[in-house]
Amino acid sequence: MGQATDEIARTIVLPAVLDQAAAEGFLGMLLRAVETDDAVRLDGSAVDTITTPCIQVILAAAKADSRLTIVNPSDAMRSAFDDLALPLPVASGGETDIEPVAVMEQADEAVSTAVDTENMAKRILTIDDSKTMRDMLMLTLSDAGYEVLQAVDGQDGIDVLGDKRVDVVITDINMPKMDGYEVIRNLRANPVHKTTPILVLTTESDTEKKNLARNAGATGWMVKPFDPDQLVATIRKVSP
Amino acid sequence: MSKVDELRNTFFDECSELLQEIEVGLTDIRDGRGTDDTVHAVFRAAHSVKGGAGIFGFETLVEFAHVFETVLDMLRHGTLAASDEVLSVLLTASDILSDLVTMARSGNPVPPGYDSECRAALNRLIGADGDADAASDGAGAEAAGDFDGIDFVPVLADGFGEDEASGDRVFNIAFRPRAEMLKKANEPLYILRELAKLGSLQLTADTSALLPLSELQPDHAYINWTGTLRTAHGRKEIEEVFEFVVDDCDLEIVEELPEGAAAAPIADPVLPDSGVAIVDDAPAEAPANPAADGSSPALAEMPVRTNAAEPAKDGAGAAVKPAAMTTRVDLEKIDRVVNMVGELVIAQAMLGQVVRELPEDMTARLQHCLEEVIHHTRELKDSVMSMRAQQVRTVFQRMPRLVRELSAKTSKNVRLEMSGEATEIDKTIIERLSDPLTHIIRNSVDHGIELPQERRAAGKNEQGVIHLSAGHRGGRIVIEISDDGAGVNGERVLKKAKERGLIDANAVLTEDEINNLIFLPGFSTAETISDISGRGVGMDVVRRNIMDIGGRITLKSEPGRGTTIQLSLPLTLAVMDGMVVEIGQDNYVVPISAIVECMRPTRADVRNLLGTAGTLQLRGAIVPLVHLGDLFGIRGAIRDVVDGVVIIVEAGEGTRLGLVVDELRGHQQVVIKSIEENYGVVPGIAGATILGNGRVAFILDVDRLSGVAGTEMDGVAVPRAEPAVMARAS
Repeated sequence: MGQATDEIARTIVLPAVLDQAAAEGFLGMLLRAVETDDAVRLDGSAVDTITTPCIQVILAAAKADSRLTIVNPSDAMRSAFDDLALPLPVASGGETDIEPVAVMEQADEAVSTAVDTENMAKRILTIDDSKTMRDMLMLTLSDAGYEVLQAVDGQDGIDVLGDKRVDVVITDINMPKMDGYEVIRNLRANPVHKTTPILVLTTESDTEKKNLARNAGATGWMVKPFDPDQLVATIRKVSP
Repeated sequence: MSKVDELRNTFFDECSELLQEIEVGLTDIRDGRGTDDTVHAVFRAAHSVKGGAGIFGFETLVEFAHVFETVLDMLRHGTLAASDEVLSVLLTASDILSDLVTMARSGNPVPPGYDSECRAALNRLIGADGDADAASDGAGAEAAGDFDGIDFVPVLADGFGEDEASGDRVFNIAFRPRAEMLKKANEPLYILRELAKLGSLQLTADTSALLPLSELQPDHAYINWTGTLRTAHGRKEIEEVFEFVVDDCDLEIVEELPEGAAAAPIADPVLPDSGVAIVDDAPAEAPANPAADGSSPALAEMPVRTNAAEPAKDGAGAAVKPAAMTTRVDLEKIDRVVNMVGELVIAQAMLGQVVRELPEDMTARLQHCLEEVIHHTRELKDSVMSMRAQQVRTVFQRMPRLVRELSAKTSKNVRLEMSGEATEIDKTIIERLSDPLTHIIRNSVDHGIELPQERRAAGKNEQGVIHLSAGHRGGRIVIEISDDGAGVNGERVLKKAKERGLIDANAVLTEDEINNLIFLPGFSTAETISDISGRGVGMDVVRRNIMDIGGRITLKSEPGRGTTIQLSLPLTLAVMDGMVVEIGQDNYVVPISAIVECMRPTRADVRNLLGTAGTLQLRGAIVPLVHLGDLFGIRGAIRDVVDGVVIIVEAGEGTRLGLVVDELRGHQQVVIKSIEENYGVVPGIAGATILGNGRVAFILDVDRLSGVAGTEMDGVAVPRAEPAVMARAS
């Protein structure tokens, strides 16, 4: 149960997903929180996913305000900090069970989407003008437990995706209507997809094309033909 | 069928489309109709063939497609001009590619060296042979090897395995992400976790670069890491982990050498020659090394990127024609629907019969409804038929290659022009169109088009032109093959026909009739039998094939100006218009397309010639009669011609027959059901159908009736007053 402390502490329950997409909102939230005179406690019990951008925000906030601490960190949160060799700014008192008094405004929304995604298969959009390739990807990815969306060319990919969030986008480069580079630029310009991992799947194995894709904002690349296991391994590399 | 087999089929289906796209595209480019988009489309098609072939491990196909694609890429970027010579190589390459696909599909091994000549020609276009080979090999190896190192099997190599004897190697790694890394959605956490999977990782984070909260950019990276990895893996595996981010971070991977090798410098270890086992794999991702900036391994990479922006620009403009909104349906399913529509047509005819038998005052409304149903059924039938229809393009597309090969063989200069490729015909007809067309075009090149010097002498352009066209005409499809060659040599044809006893020695024929003699069985005018037009199997086989699919073939020729062969084909084979006739108790169906006219003969019209079933005097021509009642042994059929009706039909080779029947019962659309499939071949019968009254009626095979009836009329088969073939063509 809640433990009385000398000073007034404000506890914020962190949402389940603190990924790169959440970083900007999270930054704004903590900026407002540390402006107050209250000590801020971040309840990490619900955190399911947390990545570097949000971790940097927490570290910077902790640097700015030594009274900012994390309470009840979840295993996912602990291991993220551990794996990055970063100190988890837990309260020195070692409280382990603090009752939340305030809930981060954004949290409701973020948590609810997180609940959805938790029970749902990861979703992947594949964009390729070759039916063989689309079918092959569909077969491999659905066998691996992913939910697959398909698009037949770049423009179709942009249309199919719209503002829907997916976990990974896999795109071909040479396509009619809109090529893969343009798809990547397009997606990166949309705040919704700015942080979505995009893998380029192409028979082009030369550096020039990889670099063009990278410059456009691609996360990584795969070379056709692919081995199913390696394909899945590569996807897990960018979206475990 | 397993999923993979299905996928293979998809791949091959897709391949045929892609190969067509390549061929059409290249032809367009050659003929000056190509645009940048055409080149891009051809490139993409070759590229897709390669990609798919790779999945299924068709190595020869992949290798060949790769070289092909490389040349297309040069064409695309303008580093290679689209000269005639280049296009001729590319067209040959598209033929070879198509052959390789066919071999892959059938599972036949590719004969050794099958593609080597063409590949060599492509390589010559790429540049120095050696370079090109190296390039292709390199790409192949890279494509195959790209994933070789991604092997994330976690290795239990922590703590206890500290002793050097374990064979573990130790790497000191410094990883400093740059701001751009996060913007590309690469996550240091995932990368470091991958790294940790390789062995035992001791990591230290440096957060000193972290900005105050108010200045923090959420998508910038501020933390750096240094660490020691003890692993059974090599440098390559470690570099694989950083594969995607190597250009967006500062990365140092330094191997700690074992005591014995301590003399080796540990500093500057990413240079390829500094490590123990890294010589092979370091250069590929050389920019990883900050120290290498401007030094040897990185330099090699630099020039590659100079024109990096160009293809992107091209690609952005590559708005090609919109992809058709199509879905693939198994043909069997469509065939099933076609059959069901057939049954529906029958059921509806039965319903109509019942309605007609009801008292008239009751049926007014019923009749109205029925008409609606009939209307919709017809539309349904047309829609389903159009679903099964394919563009004649699928057959036409095989012809350019044929013409290319033939002109090379015969040393003639021939250009093939095509139009109306988008015309649609039922798939069953398309399938049976390929052989006749091939034969006709062979004939045109072999016999029609003259040698260049002859053409020059005749004041023609050295290049002969064969035009292949398709279009709708009056509910039928008309395909025309015309050439501007020498035309049919009437004199020679007539002489041959007489020599072979195909026509009476005294017969006097019109020019058209003479021309059409070449369709008679066993007729071949080629002075020397070439391996192109074949031996003996001449135009009569072509004609037979066309007749079999309910088509008609006619020929027009002008000496010195060329020949035009016209094929008139039905839209479908599943349903046809028939004339229902009554013979005794039975009903038979005569295909409307074969009927010239019907008449009730007077006694004066009929002549009895010895050895025949009688003949009919028709406006000066003699038409042999066939008593169907006698022929099929039907009881109760009329005995005397003047009591019945004579249907004049065209029975092939310009022959006309007068079919004697009791009565005409009317015109009806009938669904053709095969007898062959269920019973066997019945001479004179093409199939069966079910009539409105539910009874089965046989459909006559008019073309073969004369043979069955044993009419010995072949000698007078082409009566002079009846230019039979031409009359039917109208």
